[in-house]
Amino acid sequence: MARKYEQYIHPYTDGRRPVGGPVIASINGTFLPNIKSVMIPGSNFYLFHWVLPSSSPQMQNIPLFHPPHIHKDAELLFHIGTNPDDPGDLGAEVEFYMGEEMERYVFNRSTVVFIPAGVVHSPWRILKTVRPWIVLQIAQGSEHTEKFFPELVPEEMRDKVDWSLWPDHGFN
Amino acid sequence: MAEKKGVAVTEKKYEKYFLPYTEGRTIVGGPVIANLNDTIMSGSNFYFIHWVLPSDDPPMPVGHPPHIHKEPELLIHIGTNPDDPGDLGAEVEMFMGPEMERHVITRSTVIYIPPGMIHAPWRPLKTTRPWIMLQINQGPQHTEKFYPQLLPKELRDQVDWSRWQDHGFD
Repeated sequence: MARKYEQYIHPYTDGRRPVGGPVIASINGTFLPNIKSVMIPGSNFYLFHWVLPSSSPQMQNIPLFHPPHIHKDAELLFHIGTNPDDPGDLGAEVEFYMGEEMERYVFNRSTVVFIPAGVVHSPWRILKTVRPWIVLQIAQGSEHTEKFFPELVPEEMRDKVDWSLWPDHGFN
Repeated sequence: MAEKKGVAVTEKKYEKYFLPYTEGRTIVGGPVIANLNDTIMSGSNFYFIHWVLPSDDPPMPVGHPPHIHKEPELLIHIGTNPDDPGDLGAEVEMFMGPEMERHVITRSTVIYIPPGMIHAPWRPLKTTRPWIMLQINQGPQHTEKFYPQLLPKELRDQVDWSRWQDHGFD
């Protein structure tokens, strides 16, 4: 018998690893070349994935992981530790830069970062992971948009980045 | 250098955008991880995240009663076994539509609910491993209007309706 509402229910079908940890779900992520997204009309962009202890060294080998950029819509980055006995314990150390001033933050607690539309942010980098944890990346718009600001990166670091990995999209 | 509960900062201009875990509440028997809306953070949609801890029995006798929202809602059920991310470690019951179509999920699952579409009761039936529930309303505040008439009388009488009040619908 046909199930009228089954179209709204999307069980896990993944197995891909964008930054060393398995993808949990990706919705409307058309810009992600290696990740098959579920397309849901009416939904915003969402990407949820694990970060494993083995992910951190991999990320540290990528020069300037995720260079400074903006989005057209507000973005939220949820960093969620997976110890239910201490939900605030992230089990990791994350470095994040905010603003054109490149204000540096380092946190080791479960933390939400809210990024208003048009505010420059990143690099975002995992310094250390001792327990698997979860990242929720949310754009409060139906598609992901991104415009990079290489000029904010010091020249010696800028030259090490493979900029083909970081194309602008959604900004015409 | 300023300190903010687990966040070390060199300047304070953007500190307001960092919300470290400060909860301590529990819901459906599990700790709240994060709670956000436009009042808490200007420009944010509604997000509510909590743990669901092991239990052989449903923590709610009937579950969240049938209702609608003004905005799209996403209910994200996330299992916490990184070796098998699809394994929810739980069994969750969800009803969809005014027909009360019953679904039972045991995998990490996203449920998308269009604005105005009746859904629920939602309730965990059994949990063998702690898992994470993420509730998103794609609007600045949570809105909700209940449909008690869709529940059979014997279930309706078990619900404490003072806990489930319409809000955001005038």
